[in-house]
Amino acid sequence: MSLYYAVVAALLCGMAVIGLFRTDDLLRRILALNVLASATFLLLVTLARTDSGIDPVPHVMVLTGIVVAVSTTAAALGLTIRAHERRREESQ
Amino acid sequence: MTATGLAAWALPSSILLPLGLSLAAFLGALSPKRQVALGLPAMLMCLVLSLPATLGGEAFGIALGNWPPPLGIAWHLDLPTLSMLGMTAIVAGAASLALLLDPSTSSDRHLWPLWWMMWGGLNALLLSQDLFNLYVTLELVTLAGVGLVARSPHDRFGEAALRYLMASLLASLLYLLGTALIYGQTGRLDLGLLVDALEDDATMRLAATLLTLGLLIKAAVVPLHTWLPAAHSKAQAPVSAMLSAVVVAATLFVLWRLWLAPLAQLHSAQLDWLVLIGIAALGWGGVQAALQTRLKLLIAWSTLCHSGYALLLLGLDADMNWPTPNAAHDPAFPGGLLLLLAHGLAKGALFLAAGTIVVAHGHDRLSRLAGDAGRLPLAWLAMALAGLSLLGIPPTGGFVGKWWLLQGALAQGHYLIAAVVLLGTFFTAACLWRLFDLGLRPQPRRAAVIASRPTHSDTTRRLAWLALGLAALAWGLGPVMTLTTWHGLILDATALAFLLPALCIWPLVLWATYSWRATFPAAHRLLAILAAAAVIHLCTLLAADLLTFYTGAALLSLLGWAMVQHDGHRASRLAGLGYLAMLLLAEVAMLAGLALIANATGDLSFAGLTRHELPPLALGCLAFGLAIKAGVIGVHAWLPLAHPVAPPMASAILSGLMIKLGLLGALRLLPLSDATVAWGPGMVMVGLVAAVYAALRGIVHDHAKVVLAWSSVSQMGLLTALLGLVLYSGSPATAMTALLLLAATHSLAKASLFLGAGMANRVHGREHRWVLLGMLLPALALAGVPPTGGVLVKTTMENALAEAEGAGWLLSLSSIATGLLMLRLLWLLWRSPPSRQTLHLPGSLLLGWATLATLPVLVAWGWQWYAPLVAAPLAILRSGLLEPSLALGLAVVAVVLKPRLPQPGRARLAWRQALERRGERGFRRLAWMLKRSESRLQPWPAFGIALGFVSLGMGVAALLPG
Repeated sequence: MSLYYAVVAALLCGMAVIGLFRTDDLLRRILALNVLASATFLLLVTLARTDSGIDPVPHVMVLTGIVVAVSTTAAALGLTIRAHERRREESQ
Repeated sequence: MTATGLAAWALPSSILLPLGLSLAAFLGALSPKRQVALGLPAMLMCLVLSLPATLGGEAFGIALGNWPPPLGIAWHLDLPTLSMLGMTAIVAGAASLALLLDPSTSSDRHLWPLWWMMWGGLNALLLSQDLFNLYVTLELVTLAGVGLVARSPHDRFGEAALRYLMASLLASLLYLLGTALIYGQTGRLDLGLLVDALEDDATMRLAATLLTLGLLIKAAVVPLHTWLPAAHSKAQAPVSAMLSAVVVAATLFVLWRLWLAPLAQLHSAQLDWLVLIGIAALGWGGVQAALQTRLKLLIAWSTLCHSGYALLLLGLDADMNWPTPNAAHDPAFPGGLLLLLAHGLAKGALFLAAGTIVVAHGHDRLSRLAGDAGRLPLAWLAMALAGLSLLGIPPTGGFVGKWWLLQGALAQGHYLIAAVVLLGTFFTAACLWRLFDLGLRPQPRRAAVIASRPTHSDTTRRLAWLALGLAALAWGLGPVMTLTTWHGLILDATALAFLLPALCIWPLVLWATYSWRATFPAAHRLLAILAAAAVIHLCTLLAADLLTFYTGAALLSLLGWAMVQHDGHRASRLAGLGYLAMLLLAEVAMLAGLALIANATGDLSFAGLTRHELPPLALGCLAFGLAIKAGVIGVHAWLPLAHPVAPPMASAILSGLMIKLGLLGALRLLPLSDATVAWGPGMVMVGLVAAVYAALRGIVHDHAKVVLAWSSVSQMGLLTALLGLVLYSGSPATAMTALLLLAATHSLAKASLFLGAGMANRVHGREHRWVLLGMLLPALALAGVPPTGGVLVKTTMENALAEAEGAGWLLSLSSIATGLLMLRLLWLLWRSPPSRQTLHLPGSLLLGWATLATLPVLVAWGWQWYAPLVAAPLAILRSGLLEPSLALGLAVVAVVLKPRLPQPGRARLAWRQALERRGERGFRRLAWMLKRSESRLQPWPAFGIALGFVSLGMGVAALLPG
C-alpha cells in the first residue's frame, strides 16, 4: 500500500516540475510549486509508517513544511499582486 | 565559566539577537541607527566569545533544548564554521553601516526586519548540523533575500525578486525531497549520525542528486544561474554585497558539508560531474563577466565564476571526512575555504565600491565611467585591491587560497583541476582589465559618450572607506596565513649587486616624476605607482624566500602594467594589454612551479631550497616565468612594445630595474639543481644569438625608445649567455663576476639612457645638446668603448667565455652591433623633431641625472680597483678599441652610402592593419555570439531544460562507479 502512495508522490512531482516550466502564468507556477510541496509531504507521510509503527518525526517535518509552504506562497502571491498593481498604475 | 560554557551561551545569542532585532524593527520599536548600534557590537562579541571553544582544535556541539540527536537538533561549531561566521559578520557589519549611510535605505522601515532575519538565518544555516533544520534555515535566508531584492527601487515590478523566489522555492523542495528519501532510508537527519548510518545504494544516490540539485540552484551554479545576475544587480549595493558574498558562499559551504562528510561514502561518479559543472561555471561566468556593460552585473557574474572554484574542491577531498584540524596536512580544504572567505570579503568590497559609484553618479553604466578613477579615487582603489584578491595576486587571501588548492590538486595528481585553477586567473584578469582599462583612461573613447560627473558628498566618501576596509581585510587574510613561511630579508653579495643600482636610480626617478608633474597626465597617480613600486622592488631584491620574491615580482608586474598604459592612448593600451597577458602567463607558470616546490619541500627559503633536489618540472615552470619577466629571446615580444610607450621615468624603471628581477630569480634558483647543468650550453648559444639578433632588429627602427628597448633585449641575451656559463662551467666565479658587473652597468646605463631619451626631445637649444652629451657616456659604456668601464665588462665576458671554450666571435659581433645601435640612437635623437611638450629641467635634477649617467662608466673601474678583474688593464684599453672602431667605420659607411633600411613596407603595413581590423571584427562577433547564447538561457523554460540537463548528468554519473 505504501508503495502506491510513493508512486503517486513521484507522479505528482513529475507533473509539478513539468507544469512549473510549461507555463508563463505566475499564478500557475505558484500552484505547481504547491503541488510539488504536497507531493513531498505525501512522500514524507508515507515514509512515516514503518514496521515498528508510526514514526512521528516525518509528521513533524510535514507540519513545519506546511508552515514554510504557506508563508512562501504568501510571499510569492504578495509579490505577484504588487507587480500586477504597479503595472496597472503604470499603464493608467 | 569554561570556554564551552561561554560558547553555549554565545552561539544561540548570535541567532536570537538578530531575530529579536528583526521583530523590534518590524514593530518600529528601535530606529535603524539604534538597531545597528546594538546589533553590530553584540554580534561581534558573540563570535569572539565562541572563539575559545574551537581554539583547541576540537569541534564543539550544542544539542538544542538539551535534546540530543537523533530526536533533537544539534549545532556544530568548528574552525571552518567559525571562520564563515566571522566572514558573515564582517561583511554584514560593513553592509549594515552602508545601508545606514545611504538615506534611501536607512529610512526604509520594511528593509531592516528582513535584513536582520537574513543575518540570523545565515548564522543558523552555518551552524546547523541537521538536514531538515538546514532546509528551514535555507528557506529563511531565501525569503529574507527575496524580500530585500524586492525592496529595491530598481526592481519595480518585482521581476528579479520573483524569479529568485521561484528558482529558490523549487530548489528548497528538491532539497526537501532528498531529505525525505534519506530519512526514509536511514531514520537519521543529523549529519554526524548519518556518516555511520548511510549505505551506498540507489535510493541514497537519488537522494544525493536531489539535495545537490537544490543546493546548486541556490548557489546559482552555471547553468542554473539565470536568476542570479538580475537579482544581485538590481538589489541595492549593500544587499547585493550580502547576497553575493555571503549567501552564495554559505550555500556552497552546506554543499561541502554534505559531500565531504556523509555523502563521501557514495562511490559514484557524481563528484566528477560536479567538478565538470564547476569548470563550466568558471569558464562561462568568467567570459560573461568580461562582456557586461554595467558595473554591478559584471561583479555579479564574477561571483558565478568563483562558485566554480568551490566545486573544484569536491573533486579533491572526496575521500576524506569533514576536515578536522588533525587532517591539516592536506592543503586543499583550507585552500578552498580561504578562497571562499577571501572571495566573500573582496566581493563585499566590490559591491560596496560599486554602490559608492552608483550613489555618486546615479548609474553604473561602464561606458560612461571612463576615467572615473581620477574622480572617485578611493572607491576605485577599493575595487582595485578587492579585484587583485579575486585575481589571486600575492600576498592577498585569494592568492593563498588558490595556491593551497593548487598544491592539493598537484599532490593528488589531479592535473585537470590544477590546470583549471591556473586558467581561472585569466578569466578574472580579463574582466578586471576591462574595468580598470576604462577607469584609468584619461578621456572617453568616443566624444559622443560623455563621462558623467560624480557628486561628492560625505556619504560617498564614507561608503568608499567601508569598501576599502573590506578590501584590506581580503588582503590581510593572505599574510596572516603565510606568516610562518616568512624568512625575513637578506642582503648577500648577489642582492647587493642588484640593490646598489636600484638605490641610485629610484630616488632620481621619483624626483624626476615629481619635478615634471605638470608635463605628464595624472602625474600624482604615476608618482604613487612609482613610489609603491620602489618599496616593493627593494623588498623583492632582499627577499630571502621564494614566496616573498614571487609576491614582489607579481605586484611589480601589475604596477608595470599601470605604468605602461599610463597615458591611455590606443598604442599604450594595446601594449599594456600585451604586457599584461604575457606577464600573467609568467605569474601562472611561476605559481605552478611554486606549488610543485612547496609539495616537494616545506621550506621555501632560498637557503632551505639548496638542501633539496627540486623537481625539474617545477624548475622548468619557474624558469619559463622568469624568462618572460626578463624578456629573454623567444618570449620577449612584450618588451619592445611596452617599454617605448611608457612615460620615460617608467621606461627607465622597467628596462633598468624590473627586467633584472627575472635574472635575480634565476640566479637564486637555477644553480641549485643538478638538472639545470644541462641547460647551460643551450642558454649560452641562445643568449649570444639573441644579443646579435636583437641589436640588428633595433638598428632598423627609427624611434629612439624602440631602439633602446631592443638594446635591452640584446643585453638580456648577453646576460642569459652568462647565466648559462654560470650553470655549466665548473668554476663559475669569472662568469658570475661578469654577470653581476654587466647587470649593474646595464641597469645604470639603461635607466639614464631612457631618462635622457625622454628629456632630449622635450628640451631645446643648449639643453638639448647637453642632454645628448650626457647620454654619450652610458652609450659608450654599453658599447664597451675604452676607456669607459664597458671595456672591462666586455673583457671579463670574453675571459669567462674563453674559459668555457664558447663562441667568442659572436660576442665580438654583438659588441659591434651594440656600438652601431648606440650610434643609431644618438643619431636619431640628434635629428628628431622637438616635441610640443616642453620639459622644465631644474639644475639639480640635471646634475643628478648627469651623475647617474657617469656611473656606468665608473662601476667596472671601481670593481677593478676593489678586486682586479683583468691582469693588465692598460693592454685592454688598446685591444678593446677594435670593435668600437669597426662599428664607427660601418656607421660612417652607412652615412655616406645612405642605405635604405628595411622598413616595413606599405603593403605590409596595410596587411597588418587589415589583420588588426579583422581580429577586432572577429572578436566583436564572438562577443556577440556569447552574449546571444546567454540570452537564450534566460527564458524560464530554458531554466527547466538546464535543470533537466544537470539532473540527467547527475543521474548518469550516479550509475557509474566513482
